[in-house]
Amino acid sequence: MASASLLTDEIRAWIGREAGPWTIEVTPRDVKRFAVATDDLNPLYFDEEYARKSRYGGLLAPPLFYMAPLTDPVPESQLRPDGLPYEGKFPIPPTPLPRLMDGGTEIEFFTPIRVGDTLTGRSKIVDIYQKDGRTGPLIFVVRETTYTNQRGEIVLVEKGTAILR
Amino acid sequence: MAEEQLYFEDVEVGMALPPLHKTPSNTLLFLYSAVTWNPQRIHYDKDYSLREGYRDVIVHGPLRGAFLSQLMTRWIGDGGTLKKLSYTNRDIAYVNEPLICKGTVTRKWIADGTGYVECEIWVENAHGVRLTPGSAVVVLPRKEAQ
Repeated sequence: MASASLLTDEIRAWIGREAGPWTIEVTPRDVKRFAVATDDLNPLYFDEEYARKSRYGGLLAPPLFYMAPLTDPVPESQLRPDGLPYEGKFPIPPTPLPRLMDGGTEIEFFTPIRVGDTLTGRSKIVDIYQKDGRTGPLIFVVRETTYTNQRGEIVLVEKGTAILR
Repeated sequence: MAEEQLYFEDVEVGMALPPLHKTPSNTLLFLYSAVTWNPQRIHYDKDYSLREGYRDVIVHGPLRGAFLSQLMTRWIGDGGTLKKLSYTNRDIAYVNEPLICKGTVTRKWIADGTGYVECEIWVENAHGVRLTPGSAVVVLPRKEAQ
């Protein structure tokens, strides 16, 4: 049985809403931390001599390193009961569905992320829709985010889907 | 890496990628929450996860994405380039659950002299359930172009 639509005009008005810009400093320490935390120990990410001899001529960051600064540090008093900030880097429209999940991601990579880069991210909500899940209605929030580097090159474009349930 | 470089000519449609095994522990989940400054409790607070209806803390969706990116970068080596990666988190992965990242080659083609390979990839659990299906496109060096 189909659920009634939870998508009010107010929620739909979030389509087109932009976020950012924010910047990410790609430091050697953060890159090594990310490589360790994802159990991805490719020497290109932390062995300078190895990386210098590679075709890149220097250290790279793992492709998904840009996900590292997912959440801005906010005081605990400003976190919701589930631990997420009320106002994150990627604002989500207020809905009756309290639980947030990562629904998936499509990424196109244009140029590698290099250690020493400064990335700038800008995002925009491109779609919001509702589907019926096994446990009730789900709201999908689709966001397109573009990252550029300090040379003005597009590094990657990500289309990410957040699921509210 | 130190392994021998994979070339475009080495790849056939239908061939399997070398599987990548991961069993994310509480410690790895903690490190990933820390490195992404992610305070969401379902990734470290079991009591809270039970209240949300899970049976334990759950593996971050983007961490499974990172495993899939590693499946690809390890296979293509330093000479290859990851061009596209997509994945959908269809089912939950719990802490300490053995996960296997797998893939098969679905297409290969040359455009403007560059060799592209498309793969179907996924993360499956010990029951063979595909938790995180996805796809990837890579560029591989060509022997002819050497």
